[in-house]
Amino acid sequence: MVQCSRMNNTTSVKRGRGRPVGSTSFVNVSLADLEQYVGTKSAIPVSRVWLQKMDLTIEPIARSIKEADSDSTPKVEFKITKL
Amino acid sequence: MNRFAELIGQDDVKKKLNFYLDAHEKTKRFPFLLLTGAKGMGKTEFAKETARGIKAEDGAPKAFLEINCGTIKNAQVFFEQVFAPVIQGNEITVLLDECHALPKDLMTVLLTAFNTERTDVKQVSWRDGLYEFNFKKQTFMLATTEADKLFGPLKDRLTHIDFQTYSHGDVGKIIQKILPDVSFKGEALERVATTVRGNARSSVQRAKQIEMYCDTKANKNFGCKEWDDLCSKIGINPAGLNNTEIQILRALKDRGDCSLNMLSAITGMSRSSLQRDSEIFLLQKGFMKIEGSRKLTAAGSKVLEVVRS
Repeated sequence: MVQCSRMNNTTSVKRGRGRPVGSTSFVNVSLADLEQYVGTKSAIPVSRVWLQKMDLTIEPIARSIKEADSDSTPKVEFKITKL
Repeated sequence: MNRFAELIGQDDVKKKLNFYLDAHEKTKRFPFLLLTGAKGMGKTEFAKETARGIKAEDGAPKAFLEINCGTIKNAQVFFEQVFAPVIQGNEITVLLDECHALPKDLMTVLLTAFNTERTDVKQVSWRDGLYEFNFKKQTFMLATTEADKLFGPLKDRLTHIDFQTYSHGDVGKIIQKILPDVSFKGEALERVATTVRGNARSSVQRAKQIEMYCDTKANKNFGCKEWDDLCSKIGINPAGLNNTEIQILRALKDRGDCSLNMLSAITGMSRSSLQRDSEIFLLQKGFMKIEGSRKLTAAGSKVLEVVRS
């Protein structure tokens, strides 16, 4: 199960502007969990800093997570009548 | 020549359309019409009837293409799915229904295309394609309930024809025409006509309800007694008032003058919805007036007395 970040936690602490202390932009999820949602060939955004820490050199690909294929080209509704 | 004998009411509209059709017979030109009016006023029916009078080269009426503009996402899908395969090169009459929902880019295209001061043929390039409008072959009509939302410069290119509410007499004729076998007794038909709010589509619906009632009772005579019975069975109110409107009138009677906010709180409806969907009708009928605050009129009090509790 992918957990939501603490940013979504709207408990009672009064907040000012900006990022609340302790909130982070990223959460840790298992690769197995993630794979259920996006598949192994999907492009996943990762932090460049993290890549450096891991000492990885991987050529980035152009697209981020592939959007659901839009076979959803909207159909125009029309009707032809022979008069 | 009256080409609209089959349609009841809208005499001004008929006169104008007859004029343009007469002109078309001689010149093959037809203006870009914008049909405006509330829902159920007969815009589409009149457009279709007009199309019967727009003849192709062989003398037969052109085909009639009705497009729901709310389903056109952008100009590209219009050209790909409709214009290129169905309109271009063909003799056809096109009705762009609910044209206020046209996407902005297509409105701009039509603005260019409908500029026909010099020629009847207009070529429009869009993305990689070149499309040809030929207004000797193709006739365009637009219809909308919300003309104010139409792109102003495009609206200026169109010839406006506005529809009016139907008189009680016209409504009676519509209902009687749909129900030729039903014999209306006494004032029944007049009383029925007062409940459809001058709307042709509602008249048709009311006729269907009466037909269902007569079929159920196996009786084709429909008098005031039958009408009262039908009203109590399916909840038809005097003047065709709906429950929200009755709630407003009752609030004004019980509490005296009210603000729009107060009516909104009482009915649970938003201010804009109240104004658009309820107050306009109540004002038209003279059941309510606005003088700083909302007030019940004598006519409003009177109609409340006959509303069932």
